[in-house]
Formats: sequence, C-alpha cells, structure tokens
Amino acid sequence: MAMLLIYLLVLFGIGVPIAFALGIAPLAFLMERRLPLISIPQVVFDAMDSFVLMAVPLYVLAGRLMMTGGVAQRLVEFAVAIVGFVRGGLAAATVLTCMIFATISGSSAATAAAVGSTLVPEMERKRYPRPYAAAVVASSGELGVIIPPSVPMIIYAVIAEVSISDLFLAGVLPGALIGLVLILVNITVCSVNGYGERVEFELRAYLANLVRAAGRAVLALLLPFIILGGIYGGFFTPTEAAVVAVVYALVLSVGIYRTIAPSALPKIFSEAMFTSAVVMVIVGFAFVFAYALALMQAPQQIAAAIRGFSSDPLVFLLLVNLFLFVVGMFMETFAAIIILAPVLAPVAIQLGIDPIHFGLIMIVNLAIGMVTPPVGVNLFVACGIARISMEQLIRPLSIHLAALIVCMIIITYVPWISLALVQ
Amino acid sequence: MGNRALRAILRALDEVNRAILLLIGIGLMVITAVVFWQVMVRFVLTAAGINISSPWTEEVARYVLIWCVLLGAAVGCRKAQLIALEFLVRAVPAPLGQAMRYAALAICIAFFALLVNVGWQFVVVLGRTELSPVMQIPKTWVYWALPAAAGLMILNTLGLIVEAVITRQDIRDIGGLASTE
Repeated sequence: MAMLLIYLLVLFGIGVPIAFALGIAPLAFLMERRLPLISIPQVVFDAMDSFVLMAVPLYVLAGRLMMTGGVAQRLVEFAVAIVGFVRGGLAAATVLTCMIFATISGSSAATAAAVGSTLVPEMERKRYPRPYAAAVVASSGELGVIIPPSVPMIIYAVIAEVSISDLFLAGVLPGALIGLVLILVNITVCSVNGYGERVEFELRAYLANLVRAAGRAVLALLLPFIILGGIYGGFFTPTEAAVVAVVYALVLSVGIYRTIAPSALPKIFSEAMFTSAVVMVIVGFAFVFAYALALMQAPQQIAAAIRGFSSDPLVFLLLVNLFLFVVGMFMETFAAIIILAPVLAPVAIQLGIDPIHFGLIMIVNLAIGMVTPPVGVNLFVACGIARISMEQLIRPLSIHLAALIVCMIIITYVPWISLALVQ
Repeated sequence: MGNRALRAILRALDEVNRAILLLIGIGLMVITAVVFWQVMVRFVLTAAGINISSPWTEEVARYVLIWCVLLGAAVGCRKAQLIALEFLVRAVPAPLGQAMRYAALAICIAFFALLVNVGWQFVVVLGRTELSPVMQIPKTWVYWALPAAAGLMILNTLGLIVEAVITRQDIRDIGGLASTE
C-alpha cells in the first residue's frame, strides 16, 4: 500500500492530471496480482453511470445562467437594502448575497465570482480598501459549497454512499452560522478601522427601498424555495431539482429579464459541461484507485493504524481537521474529497461518528482550503476581480480566516448543528 | 515535417475540438430536456390524469453524460486544462520543471494507449452481448466512449507538445486550468 501512495504522490508531483494519476498509480498492483486490466473500463463506467452525478453539470449550468443572467445583481441590491445601513454594511451585504446565491449555486468559485464582480467595485467606490473587499469576497464565497445545493457534497455523497438530501440539509445551519459570524466580523472590523461610509438611517426610506429591492429580486428569491422545498417535500430527487432550477433560470434570464440572448446559450451549455467534465472524470478514475485500495484492504489497515494511535473520536476528528487543513492548502477540493473520503469515512463510522456529520466536516474543512494560500480557488477569483496580488490579500484575509477556523471547530465538535435538521 | 504542416495539423485538431465542445454542449441540452421531461411526466401529466411512464429518460441521460464527460476531458488535454497540481512543477528550476512536465505527458500518453486497448477489448468482450436494461440497445453504444475519448486524448496531448516545440514556449505556460468550480 505504501508503494501505491508513493506512486500517486510522485505522479501528482510531476503534474500528471489527478484523474489519470488515480488510474495509473494502481496499475503496478493490478498487474502484480494478475488482475485483468479490462476491469479498468468496467470500474470507470460503473462509477460514471450514475443519475446522481448528473446533478453536477446541471447545478453548474444553473449557477452560470443565474450569474450571467443578471440575477446576481438583483440579489446584491436586495442584500444591500437589508444590511446596507450599518457601518461596514456593504461588506455585510456581500456575505449575505453569498448566502443567498449559495442556495442557487453549488460552487464556491461561481459564488465568489458572481457576487464579487458586482460588489468589489461598489465597495471600492464606497471607500473600502480594495484588498479588504477582495478578502470579504474570498471568505464568504466558500458558503457556496456549504449552503445547499453543493457540488462537492454531491461528489462526497456518491463516494461515501450517503444520502445527498440529508447532506444538503446538514449544510443549512452550519452555513447560516458561518454567514452570521462573517457578517459580525465584517461589521466589527469596518467599525474599528472606519472602512466604508456612514449612512444616515431613516426608517421610512429604509422600508421603501427594501420593498422595492425585494420586488425586483422576488423571482430570483423563489428559486431556492423551489429547489430545497422540492427536495425536502419529497417531490424531486436532487438531480430533478437541479433540472428544474436550470429550466427556471432559463425562463428567468432568457424569457423574463432578457439578459441572455438565445444565441449565447450554446456557449454557456458547452462551458458548463466542460467544467463539469473536468471534475467528473476524476470521479471515474478515483473508483479505479478505490478498487485497488479495497483489494488491498487498505481502509481496514488505515483504520487499524489510527485506532492503534487513539480510538477517541475527538482525537480522530482533531487529526482530521489538521490533516484536511494542510491538504486544503495545496490540493484542489474535489480531488481531496475523492481521494480521502473512501479512506476516512469508513474509519469515522467505525469510531461512531455520523457519516453525514463527517461529510459536512470534510466539506467545511476543505472549503477553508479554498481560502488558504498558496492554492485556493477563491483567492484566485478574488485577486482576479480586485486586480491585486496574493500577498496584498493575506493581511486583510487573516481575520476572516481565523473566523472560519473557529466556525469549523464549532461545527466539528458540536454535531447537533449539522444533524438537527436531518431526521 | 515542416512547421507549416504541423501548424495546419494543429489547426485541424482545434477545429475537431471546437466541434466536440459544441457537441457536449448539445449533450447537456439533451440531458436537461430528457430529465425535465421525466419530471413533467411524473408531476404535471400525472396530475392532469394522463399516465405515461418514461423509463427511458434516465437511461438516455446517463449514457449521454458518460460520452460528454469523457469527450470533455479529452478536449481538456489539448491545453492542459485538467485539474493537476501545478505547485511543484513551478517551484523547481525551469529546466527541471519542464522535464517533469514532459515526463508527465509521456506517462499520460502511455496510459491513454492502454485505455484505447482495454477500452476496445471491453467493447468487444462485453458490449456486444450486453443490452441496456430499459431501451435494449447494445451497450457498445456506451462503451465506445472510452477508446474514442482516449484516442483523442493522445492526439491532444501530442498537439500540446507540438505547440510548445514549434512556438518555443515553456510547456508549463501553455493553457492551464481555465476554470475550477
């Protein structure tokens, strides 16, 4: 088993795409055992022949349509109308918009991009330092994968064989917790440093503005209810809910708001499918890797090794937190879930940790990895939008990062937050 | 072969890739349409008292998705757009980093050749006899996706190397991950 991991790390190191490294690393073992290599296509097709996985391109597509379709803009106006009056109100509104957009989008990068491209220039105009604005977008963008729907959750559910609906539901309260904490942190930091402009509060104008913004955003705000209500009301599977979201987003952006020309659709569909393919091909080959691991009884060996070290679930969770934090700094989220979930989830279950709760711990932990340098997709998006370097981002980001880590610890050690809504 | 001929071949390859990208976009449209049809049949038509069941929708959508994923990944090979760890290759001195990248591409090409081989065997051995559960079509229609995509992966990886050589670019700087979500 050590050899298998060494092959894998060397292949990763020299830059072999993760999908293929996962297929190549087990070859030596399969040949040594004289197993027919025809099992590779068999396993790849079994893995990809899944109705559940189909939710991935559909949520990616729904997110793209909502992003290009001017929906994000309306959600921003709505969020600003709610919290814009406090000191640091635009920063708080950024977090709030991310929370709302996350109920439509399944990805962090899409959430950060959609919200950031509108709000970073706006914050700059209202005298927030640009690096601070970028830090707000990078940190609150991670809510995209924690608040359902969530593409990484779909991948985890497929790999660890748990219910997607339950996992989605488990993300609601942790997402709300992180969102509220980030809003409070932003208001505090902005008040202390005097970021942004003070706005006179006048109740009548506030309410009038709120009603107007809510009216403009109402059709977009309905979508989360359709998606989540449909899943939990038992009307749709998550895949069917995704397709309903796509059709709704199409009607909204092409038909009602008319922000997407029909001629632009082929490109949007192609890009959504391509982005999804790049992730989903990893799932296919990860099953080849998992197949070799299973033949070696690796999960049992790793479980035994961890239990030999400590059989206390709290110690195990602490190790998982630290390990995933380090992994998240360097590795892309999907790859980390796909490689680590089949190894870690069985151990967690043996130690008596709820598999849904454990899935959420992995997602929250790796979502922080999207915001930690040197490799973090949200950082790249935020730096790109704000036109700043990664180094400039680190200082304003650190306090947000600290808040996210505190939330992660709370979510890890208080299972109730994740499991309260799951029956 | 002269540079001009190689450039012409690269252009032709990119035309093929563009067509395939369009095709997988159409594939996603088909998936959207049939899964939405499935929802309509379950709710709207049933509520209206019309009972038609459509067991074929899921099967069509799943098979189209397999083709789209494999072909999409194959197109990604042309500009090194698949998810990979770029960290180490860029951290080491340039000649070493480039050597690592070329080694990685060579290993990939060998792996794709293996996939063409076992993928084709799989078509011959299983695909001919196996029928899809609902539509009863031969599963060769699905299984061809792997050898076909792996073949395109070889061409695209060669295309990437050729582009780096004839334009005298650092192999590490061509393409790169366009978007991760």
